[in-house]
Amino acid sequence: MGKAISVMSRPLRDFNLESRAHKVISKEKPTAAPKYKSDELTYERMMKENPSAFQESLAKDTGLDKHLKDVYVTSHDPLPQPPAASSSAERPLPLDRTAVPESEFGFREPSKVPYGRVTLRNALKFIGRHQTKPIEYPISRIAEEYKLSEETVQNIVKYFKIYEVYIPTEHKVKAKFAGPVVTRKQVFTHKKKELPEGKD
Amino acid sequence: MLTFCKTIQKITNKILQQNVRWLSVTASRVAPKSYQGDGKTTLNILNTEADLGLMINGISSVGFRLNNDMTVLGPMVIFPRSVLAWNVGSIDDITPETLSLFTVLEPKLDIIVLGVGDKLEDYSFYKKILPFMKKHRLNLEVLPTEQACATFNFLNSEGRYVAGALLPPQTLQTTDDDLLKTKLRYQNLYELD
Repeated sequence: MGKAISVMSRPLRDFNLESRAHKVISKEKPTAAPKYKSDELTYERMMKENPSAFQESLAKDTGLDKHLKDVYVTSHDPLPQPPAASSSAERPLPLDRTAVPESEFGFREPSKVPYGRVTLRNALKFIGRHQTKPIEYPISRIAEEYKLSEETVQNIVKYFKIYEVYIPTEHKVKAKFAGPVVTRKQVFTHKKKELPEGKD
Repeated sequence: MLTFCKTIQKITNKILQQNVRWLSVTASRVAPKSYQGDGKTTLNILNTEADLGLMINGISSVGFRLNNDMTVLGPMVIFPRSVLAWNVGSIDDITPETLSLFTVLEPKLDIIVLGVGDKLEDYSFYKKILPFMKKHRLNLEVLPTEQACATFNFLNSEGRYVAGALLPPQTLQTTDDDLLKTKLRYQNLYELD
Protein backbone atom coordinates (compact mmCIF):
# COMPACT_ATOMS: atom_id res chain seq x y z
CA MET A 1 0.00 0.00 0.00
CA GLY A 2 2.85 2.34 1.00
CA LYS A 3 4.63 1.60 -2.24
CA ALA A 4 1.53 2.45 -4.26
CA ILE A 5 1.25 5.80 -2.54
CA SER A 6 4.92 6.61 -3.01
CA VAL A 7 4.71 5.68 -6.71
CA MET A 8 1.89 8.17 -7.09
CA SER A 9 3.36 10.93 -4.95
CA ARG A 10 6.95 10.77 -6.28
CA PRO A 11 6.30 12.80 -9.50
CA LEU A 12 4.71 15.53 -7.41
CA ARG A 13 7.53 15.49 -4.88
CA ASP A 14 10.24 15.56 -7.54
CA PHE A 15 8.59 18.28 -9.64
CA ASN A 16 11.14 20.92 -10.67
CA LEU A 17 13.58 19.34 -8.21
CA GLU A 18 16.78 20.37 -9.89
CA SER A 19 16.02 24.07 -10.24
CA ARG A 20 14.88 24.19 -6.63
CA ALA A 21 18.09 22.53 -5.50
CA HIS A 22 20.19 24.97 -7.57
CA LYS A 23 18.37 27.89 -6.03
CA VAL A 24 19.24 26.67 -2.54
CA ILE A 25 22.92 25.95 -3.17
CA SER A 26 23.54 29.13 -5.17
CA LYS A 27 22.70 31.32 -2.17
CA GLU A 28 25.49 33.63 -0.98
CA LYS A 29 25.07 32.58 2.63
CA PRO A 30 23.21 29.48 3.62
CA THR A 31 20.21 29.90 5.82
CA ALA A 32 20.99 28.66 9.31
CA ALA A 33 18.96 25.82 10.66
CA PRO A 34 16.29 26.91 13.14
CA LYS A 35 17.27 26.75 16.80
CA TYR A 36 15.52 24.90 19.55
CA LYS A 37 12.97 26.93 21.47
CA SER A 38 14.93 26.56 24.72
CA ASP A 39 18.19 27.72 23.07
CA GLU A 40 16.46 30.68 21.51
CA LEU A 41 15.18 31.78 24.92
CA THR A 42 18.66 31.44 26.43
CA TYR A 43 20.23 33.61 23.71
CA GLU A 44 17.61 36.28 24.20
CA ARG A 45 18.18 36.27 27.97
CA MET A 46 21.95 36.60 27.52
CA MET A 47 21.56 39.51 25.08
CA LYS A 48 19.36 41.32 27.58
CA GLU A 49 21.58 40.68 30.64
CA ASN A 50 25.00 41.70 29.22
CA PRO A 51 24.67 42.95 25.66
CA SER A 52 28.26 44.29 25.48
CA ALA A 53 29.86 40.92 26.20
CA PHE A 54 27.57 39.25 23.69
CA GLN A 55 28.48 41.71 20.96
CA GLU A 56 32.15 41.25 21.78
CA SER A 57 31.85 37.49 21.35
CA LEU A 58 30.46 37.99 17.86
CA ALA A 59 33.35 40.26 16.77
CA LYS A 60 36.68 38.86 15.53
CA ASP A 61 39.47 38.85 18.19
CA THR A 62 42.72 39.70 16.40
CA GLY A 63 44.82 38.70 19.43
CA LEU A 64 43.45 35.18 19.57
CA ASP A 65 43.64 34.95 15.79
CA LYS A 66 47.35 35.80 15.90
CA HIS A 67 48.01 33.20 18.59
CA LEU A 68 46.41 30.60 16.40
CA LYS A 69 48.53 31.63 13.45
CA ASP A 70 51.73 31.52 15.53
CA VAL A 71 51.18 27.92 16.57
CA TYR A 72 53.30 25.59 14.49
CA VAL A 73 53.37 21.90 15.30
CA THR A 74 56.35 19.78 14.36
CA SER A 75 56.88 16.12 15.08
CA HIS A 76 59.65 13.62 14.55
CA ASP A 77 59.95 9.89 14.87
CA PRO A 78 62.22 8.62 17.63
CA LEU A 79 65.54 7.30 16.35
CA PRO A 80 65.50 3.49 16.11
CA GLN A 81 67.48 2.10 18.99
CA PRO A 82 69.13 -1.31 18.74
CA PRO A 83 67.55 -3.83 21.10
CA ALA A 84 69.16 -4.25 24.48
CA ALA A 85 72.19 -6.52 24.52
CA SER A 86 71.36 -10.19 24.77
CA SER A 87 72.09 -11.99 27.99
CA SER A 88 74.43 -14.29 26.12
CA ALA A 89 77.27 -12.70 24.16
CA GLU A 90 77.64 -15.82 22.06
CA ARG A 91 74.11 -15.59 20.76
CA PRO A 92 73.41 -11.90 20.17
CA LEU A 93 70.00 -10.85 18.99
CA PRO A 94 69.71 -10.12 15.28
CA LEU A 95 70.17 -6.45 14.42
CA ASP A 96 70.10 -6.66 10.65
CA ARG A 97 66.64 -6.67 9.16
CA THR A 98 67.67 -6.71 5.51
CA ALA A 99 66.96 -9.71 3.32
CA VAL A 100 69.33 -12.65 3.51
CA PRO A 101 71.69 -12.47 0.52
CA GLU A 102 71.36 -15.11 -2.16
CA SER A 103 73.89 -17.87 -1.58
CA GLU A 104 76.14 -19.02 -4.41
CA PHE A 105 75.14 -22.67 -4.20
CA GLY A 106 71.49 -22.21 -3.25
CA PHE A 107 71.78 -23.19 0.41
CA ARG A 108 73.38 -21.85 3.58
CA GLU A 109 76.91 -23.11 3.96
CA PRO A 110 78.03 -24.14 7.44
CA SER A 111 81.01 -22.43 9.08
CA LYS A 112 82.17 -25.64 10.76
CA VAL A 113 82.44 -28.93 8.91
CA PRO A 114 82.95 -32.14 10.90
CA TYR A 115 85.72 -34.59 10.02
CA GLY A 116 84.80 -36.98 7.25
CA ARG A 117 82.44 -34.55 5.59
CA VAL A 118 82.84 -31.81 3.01
CA THR A 119 80.79 -28.88 1.69
CA LEU A 120 79.66 -28.87 -1.91
CA ARG A 121 81.93 -25.90 -2.62
CA ASN A 122 85.03 -27.79 -1.50
CA ALA A 123 83.90 -30.98 -3.21
CA LEU A 124 83.56 -29.17 -6.54
CA LYS A 125 86.93 -27.55 -5.95
CA PHE A 126 88.82 -30.78 -5.35
CA ILE A 127 87.04 -32.69 -8.13
CA GLY A 128 88.03 -29.95 -10.57
CA ARG A 129 91.59 -29.75 -9.29
CA HIS A 130 92.12 -33.49 -9.48
CA GLN A 131 90.63 -33.64 -12.93
CA THR A 132 92.83 -30.89 -14.35
CA LYS A 133 96.05 -31.62 -12.41
CA PRO A 134 95.94 -35.21 -11.16
CA ILE A 135 99.67 -35.32 -10.38
CA GLU A 136 99.67 -32.06 -8.43
CA TYR A 137 96.51 -32.96 -6.50
CA PRO A 138 96.66 -36.70 -5.84
CA ILE A 139 93.97 -38.48 -3.86
CA SER A 140 96.13 -38.70 -0.75
CA ARG A 141 96.62 -34.93 -0.69
CA ILE A 142 92.89 -34.24 -1.11
CA ALA A 143 92.05 -36.75 1.63
CA GLU A 144 94.47 -35.08 3.99
CA GLU A 145 93.38 -31.56 3.16
CA TYR A 146 89.63 -32.14 3.54
CA LYS A 147 89.84 -34.80 6.30
CA LEU A 148 88.19 -37.48 4.19
CA SER A 149 89.01 -41.15 3.82
CA GLU A 150 91.10 -41.97 0.77
CA GLU A 151 88.57 -44.57 -0.33
CA THR A 152 85.78 -42.00 -0.44
CA VAL A 153 87.90 -39.49 -2.35
CA GLN A 154 88.89 -42.26 -4.78
CA ASN A 155 85.23 -43.03 -5.42
CA ILE A 156 84.23 -39.39 -5.71
CA VAL A 157 86.89 -38.46 -8.26
CA LYS A 158 86.20 -41.65 -10.17
CA TYR A 159 82.44 -41.24 -10.52
CA PHE A 160 81.97 -37.45 -10.47
CA LYS A 161 83.52 -35.19 -13.08
CA ILE A 162 83.51 -31.51 -13.94
CA TYR A 163 82.00 -30.72 -17.33
CA GLU A 164 84.00 -29.35 -20.20
CA VAL A 165 82.13 -26.56 -21.94
CA TYR A 166 82.02 -26.86 -25.70
CA ILE A 167 80.77 -23.90 -27.70
CA PRO A 168 80.27 -24.59 -31.41
CA THR A 169 82.49 -22.38 -33.55
CA GLU A 170 80.10 -22.35 -36.46
CA HIS A 171 76.78 -20.87 -35.48
CA LYS A 172 75.36 -20.81 -38.97
CA VAL A 173 74.96 -24.55 -39.22
CA LYS A 174 71.41 -25.40 -38.34
CA ALA A 175 70.97 -28.18 -35.86
CA LYS A 176 68.46 -30.89 -36.58
CA PHE A 177 66.07 -32.70 -34.35
CA ALA A 178 67.67 -36.00 -33.42
CA GLY A 179 64.42 -37.74 -32.53
CA PRO A 180 62.00 -39.57 -34.79
CA VAL A 181 60.90 -37.40 -37.71
CA VAL A 182 57.53 -39.07 -38.12
CA THR A 183 55.34 -38.70 -35.06
CA ARG A 184 53.97 -41.79 -33.49
CA LYS A 185 50.36 -41.76 -34.48
CA GLN A 186 48.16 -44.74 -34.18
CA VAL A 187 45.52 -45.15 -36.84
CA PHE A 188 42.65 -47.37 -35.88
CA THR A 189 40.37 -49.00 -38.40
CA HIS A 190 36.90 -49.79 -37.18
CA LYS A 191 35.25 -52.90 -38.57
CA LYS A 192 31.76 -52.17 -39.70
CA LYS A 193 29.09 -54.77 -39.84
CA GLU A 194 27.81 -55.21 -43.37
CA LEU A 195 24.73 -56.85 -44.68
CA PRO A 196 25.40 -60.24 -46.26
CA GLU A 197 24.94 -60.10 -49.99
CA GLY A 198 22.39 -62.11 -51.92
CA LYS A 199 19.79 -62.17 -49.20
CA ASP A 200 16.56 -60.23 -48.91
CA MET B 1 27.15 -44.55 34.04
CA LEU B 2 27.83 -40.85 33.55
CA THR B 3 31.19 -41.04 35.29
CA PHE B 4 32.08 -44.06 33.17
CA CYS B 5 31.29 -42.11 30.02
CA LYS B 6 33.41 -39.21 31.23
CA THR B 7 36.40 -41.43 31.91
CA ILE B 8 36.05 -42.99 28.47
CA GLN B 9 36.02 -39.51 26.94
CA LYS B 10 39.08 -38.50 28.94
CA ILE B 11 40.99 -41.54 27.80
CA THR B 12 40.07 -41.03 24.14
CA ASN B 13 41.06 -37.36 24.35
CA LYS B 14 44.41 -38.34 25.80
CA ILE B 15 45.00 -40.91 23.07
CA LEU B 16 44.07 -38.36 20.44
CA GLN B 17 46.42 -35.75 21.89
CA GLN B 18 49.30 -38.18 22.00
CA ASN B 19 48.90 -40.00 18.73
CA VAL B 20 47.07 -37.82 16.26
CA ARG B 21 48.90 -35.07 14.50
CA TRP B 22 46.34 -32.44 13.70
CA LEU B 23 46.78 -31.09 10.25
CA SER B 24 47.15 -27.37 10.30
CA VAL B 25 44.79 -25.32 8.22
CA THR B 26 47.03 -22.25 8.09
CA ALA B 27 48.81 -23.35 4.93
CA SER B 28 45.68 -23.22 2.85
CA ARG B 29 44.77 -19.87 4.29
CA VAL B 30 48.19 -18.34 3.70
CA ALA B 31 48.71 -19.76 0.22
CA PRO B 32 47.33 -17.54 -2.52
CA LYS B 33 44.31 -18.93 -4.23
CA SER B 34 44.83 -20.04 -7.79
CA TYR B 35 41.77 -18.18 -9.00
CA GLN B 36 42.11 -14.48 -8.18
CA GLY B 37 39.12 -13.11 -10.00
CA ASP B 38 38.14 -12.27 -13.53
CA GLY B 39 41.18 -11.56 -15.69
CA LYS B 40 43.53 -11.54 -12.70
CA THR B 41 44.81 -15.10 -12.67
CA THR B 42 48.56 -15.19 -13.20
CA LEU B 43 50.78 -18.04 -14.28
CA ASN B 44 54.44 -18.47 -13.37
CA ILE B 45 56.59 -20.92 -15.27
CA LEU B 46 59.17 -22.35 -12.87
CA ASN B 47 61.90 -22.94 -15.43
CA THR B 48 61.92 -19.35 -16.67
CA GLU B 49 62.52 -17.79 -13.27
CA ALA B 50 66.25 -17.20 -13.03
CA ASP B 51 66.54 -16.85 -9.26
CA LEU B 52 65.10 -20.29 -8.56
CA GLY B 53 68.28 -22.05 -9.68
CA LEU B 54 69.17 -24.68 -12.22
CA MET B 55 66.35 -26.69 -13.74
CA ILE B 56 65.90 -29.22 -16.47
CA ASN B 57 64.05 -28.00 -19.53
CA GLY B 58 64.23 -31.10 -21.68
CA ILE B 59 65.49 -34.65 -21.84
CA SER B 60 66.59 -36.94 -24.61
CA SER B 61 68.25 -40.32 -24.79
CA VAL B 62 71.67 -38.66 -24.91
CA GLY B 63 71.36 -35.99 -22.26
CA PHE B 64 69.52 -33.06 -20.75
CA ARG B 65 68.81 -29.45 -21.60
CA LEU B 66 69.02 -27.07 -18.65
CA ASN B 67 67.26 -23.75 -18.19
CA ASN B 68 70.55 -21.83 -18.65
CA ASP B 69 70.60 -22.82 -22.37
CA MET B 70 73.22 -25.49 -21.77
CA THR B 71 72.93 -29.02 -23.05
CA VAL B 72 74.45 -31.67 -20.84
CA LEU B 73 75.54 -34.95 -22.36
CA GLY B 74 75.30 -38.22 -20.50
CA PRO B 75 74.26 -38.97 -16.94
CA MET B 76 74.52 -36.01 -14.60
CA VAL B 77 74.29 -35.04 -10.97
CA ILE B 78 72.49 -31.75 -10.55
CA PHE B 79 72.49 -29.58 -7.42
CA PRO B 80 70.45 -26.40 -6.84
CA ARG B 81 73.03 -24.25 -8.67
CA SER B 82 75.73 -26.59 -9.92
CA VAL B 83 76.00 -29.63 -12.12
CA LEU B 84 78.47 -32.52 -12.29
CA ALA B 85 78.99 -35.35 -14.75
CA TRP B 86 78.14 -38.75 -13.34
CA ASN B 87 80.42 -41.49 -14.58
CA VAL B 88 77.94 -44.38 -14.72
CA GLY B 89 76.76 -46.28 -17.75
CA SER B 90 73.37 -47.69 -16.83
CA ILE B 91 71.17 -48.56 -13.87
CA ASP B 92 73.28 -51.69 -13.20
CA ASP B 93 76.30 -49.47 -12.52
CA ILE B 94 74.56 -47.56 -9.72
CA THR B 95 76.31 -48.87 -6.63
CA PRO B 96 76.98 -47.34 -3.19
CA GLU B 97 80.39 -46.23 -4.54
CA THR B 98 78.81 -44.20 -7.33
CA LEU B 99 76.69 -42.37 -4.76
CA SER B 100 79.68 -41.75 -2.47
CA LEU B 101 79.57 -37.95 -2.83
CA PHE B 102 76.10 -37.73 -1.30
CA THR B 103 77.22 -39.51 1.86
CA VAL B 104 79.93 -36.98 2.73
CA LEU B 105 78.19 -33.70 1.88
CA GLU B 106 77.70 -31.23 4.71
CA PRO B 107 74.95 -30.10 5.32
CA LYS B 108 73.15 -33.36 4.57
CA LEU B 109 71.03 -33.30 1.44
CA ASP B 110 67.30 -32.95 2.06
CA ILE B 111 66.51 -35.41 -0.70
CA ILE B 112 68.22 -37.11 -3.61
CA VAL B 113 66.09 -37.66 -6.70
CA LEU B 114 67.43 -40.70 -8.53
CA GLY B 115 66.29 -40.85 -12.15
CA VAL B 116 66.84 -44.43 -13.27
CA GLY B 117 66.05 -43.94 -16.95
CA ASP B 118 63.15 -46.09 -18.00
CA LYS B 119 60.47 -47.38 -15.66
CA LEU B 120 61.72 -50.17 -13.40
CA GLU B 121 60.40 -53.63 -14.08
CA ASP B 122 61.03 -55.25 -10.69
CA TYR B 123 62.24 -54.44 -7.18
CA SER B 124 65.79 -55.79 -7.53
CA PHE B 125 67.24 -52.26 -7.68
CA TYR B 126 65.47 -51.25 -4.48
CA LYS B 127 66.80 -54.36 -2.75
CA LYS B 128 70.30 -53.39 -3.76
CA ILE B 129 70.08 -49.72 -2.77
CA LEU B 130 67.93 -49.90 0.39
CA PRO B 131 70.65 -51.05 2.86
CA PHE B 132 72.91 -48.24 1.62
CA MET B 133 70.15 -45.67 2.12
CA LYS B 134 69.50 -46.88 5.65
CA LYS B 135 73.19 -46.98 6.54
CA HIS B 136 73.80 -43.35 5.56
CA ARG B 137 70.28 -42.11 6.37
CA LEU B 138 69.82 -40.71 2.89
CA ASN B 139 66.43 -39.78 1.55
CA LEU B 140 66.42 -41.29 -1.89
CA GLU B 141 63.53 -40.91 -4.32
CA VAL B 142 63.81 -43.47 -7.11
CA LEU B 143 61.82 -42.46 -10.18
CA PRO B 144 61.87 -42.87 -13.97
CA THR B 145 63.99 -40.00 -15.33
CA GLU B 146 61.08 -38.16 -16.90
CA GLN B 147 59.29 -37.88 -13.56
CA ALA B 148 62.57 -37.37 -11.70
CA CYS B 149 63.34 -34.23 -13.73
CA ALA B 150 59.96 -32.71 -12.90
CA THR B 151 60.36 -33.64 -9.24
CA PHE B 152 63.82 -32.11 -9.11
CA ASN B 153 62.60 -28.88 -10.73
CA PHE B 154 59.76 -28.56 -8.29
CA LEU B 155 61.82 -29.35 -5.19
CA ASN B 156 64.51 -26.92 -6.32
CA SER B 157 61.96 -24.18 -6.87
CA GLU B 158 60.84 -24.68 -3.29
CA GLY B 159 64.40 -23.86 -2.19
CA ARG B 160 65.24 -27.28 -0.84
CA TYR B 161 68.79 -28.63 -0.74
CA VAL B 162 68.12 -31.27 -3.35
CA ALA B 163 70.35 -33.29 -5.63
CA GLY B 164 69.26 -35.08 -8.78
CA ALA B 165 71.24 -38.06 -10.04
CA LEU B 166 69.82 -38.64 -13.48
CA LEU B 167 70.42 -41.22 -16.19
CA PRO B 168 69.08 -40.38 -19.65
CA PRO B 169 66.17 -42.67 -20.56
CA GLN B 170 66.52 -45.12 -23.44
CA THR B 171 62.96 -44.84 -24.66
CA LEU B 172 61.07 -41.59 -24.93
CA GLN B 173 57.56 -40.94 -26.11
CA THR B 174 57.65 -37.78 -28.21
CA THR B 175 54.48 -35.92 -28.94
CA ASP B 176 53.55 -33.53 -31.74
CA ASP B 177 54.04 -30.72 -29.26
CA ASP B 178 57.64 -31.81 -28.53
CA LEU B 179 58.39 -31.93 -32.23
CA LEU B 180 56.91 -28.47 -32.79
CA LYS B 181 58.85 -26.98 -29.88
CA THR B 182 62.10 -28.47 -31.15
CA LYS B 183 61.48 -27.14 -34.63
CA LEU B 184 60.71 -23.71 -33.19
CA ARG B 185 63.93 -23.81 -31.20
CA TYR B 186 66.00 -24.68 -34.24
CA GLN B 187 63.99 -22.18 -36.30
CA ASN B 188 63.36 -24.60 -39.14
CA LEU B 189 59.63 -24.87 -38.75
CA TYR B 190 58.91 -24.25 -42.44
CA GLU B 191 61.65 -26.42 -43.85
CA LEU B 192 60.93 -29.77 -45.39
CA ASP B 193 63.03 -32.74 -44.36
